[in-house]
Amino acid sequence: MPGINEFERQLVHINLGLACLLMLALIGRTASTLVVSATLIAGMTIMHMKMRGEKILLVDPLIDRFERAHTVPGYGSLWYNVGVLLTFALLVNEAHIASALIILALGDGMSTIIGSMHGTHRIFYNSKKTWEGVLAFLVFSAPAIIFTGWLGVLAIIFAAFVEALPLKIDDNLAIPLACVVVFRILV
Amino acid sequence: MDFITAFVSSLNNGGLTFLADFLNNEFNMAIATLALIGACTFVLKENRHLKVLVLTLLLGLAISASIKLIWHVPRPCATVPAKIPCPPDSSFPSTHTIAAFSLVAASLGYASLVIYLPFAIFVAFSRVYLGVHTFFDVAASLGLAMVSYALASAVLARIEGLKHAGNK
Repeated sequence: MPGINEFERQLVHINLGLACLLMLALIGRTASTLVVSATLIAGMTIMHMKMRGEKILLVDPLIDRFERAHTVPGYGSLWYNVGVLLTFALLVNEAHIASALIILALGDGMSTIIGSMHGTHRIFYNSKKTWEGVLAFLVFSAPAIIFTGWLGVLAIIFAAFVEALPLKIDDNLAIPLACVVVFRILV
Repeated sequence: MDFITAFVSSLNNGGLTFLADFLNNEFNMAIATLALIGACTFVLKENRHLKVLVLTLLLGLAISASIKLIWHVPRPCATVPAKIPCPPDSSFPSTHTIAAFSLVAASLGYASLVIYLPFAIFVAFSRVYLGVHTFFDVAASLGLAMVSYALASAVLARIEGLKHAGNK
């Protein structure tokens, strides 16, 4: 069973992605990209301050609660932010952006939860990931198909494949890049 | 054209145009970048991250050149008059922005970030201000600078791993 910290982390992961989806619907692609760019610069500044050992009044409790132990503070959030920014900036079609956000939020978030709770069958090329996690990724990313149809299916399969690879790049960056490749380059 | 690009490129200030035009020249931009790196390395005595900084910068430039070769996006100045002559190459990505934000990405946790970050924000702003890039070009370039940092870190971690294995 995942620790409560990991479970809460994934809930934040899912909710942030859904919040980005809501933001896209409410204020559109241009304003959303501006918000995400500003958040990235603010996030980099916060991460920089934490790396230098400075205390930040409102941020420290959040980092203590949600950040993985023995990692650079804000590391996962930084790559999540970069992934979302590339999704907004590189994909022109809003349906494609919505699909990519669902795959990142629901697919990646639920695959970590299910994989660490029920995962027993390790993937032969990546011992850190399980087939149960991959299956959860495929199932919970399915709402993306509503926006993009068969192309969404292709994006889900490719993103699940990339997520399961033993890459040295954070999943939060690799998954949006996989979606951008499918939606922007293969179309 | 998106409303941010339309607004920023409609601004007009003599001093700002002079500075933006100065950095638009590739030679001036390279000199400014090297001068900043040199100043931060020797004045702030920061050389521990020099390897990752240089590799991030080189990978960023390579990514930009590769994308420009295979993906042609027309510049905004092709349709709307700009403050400088319109460059003929692809609008996406902004090489200036990738270079400037590569310095920022590689300096996280180092004192020099305080110098690199305002420089990078100004460079990104200046590209849209001059009318040679759209807001989406520079936003994506910020993301691509982070990608080049991730790749540079992964490459250096791999090299370090091989060195350790070799020493054993």
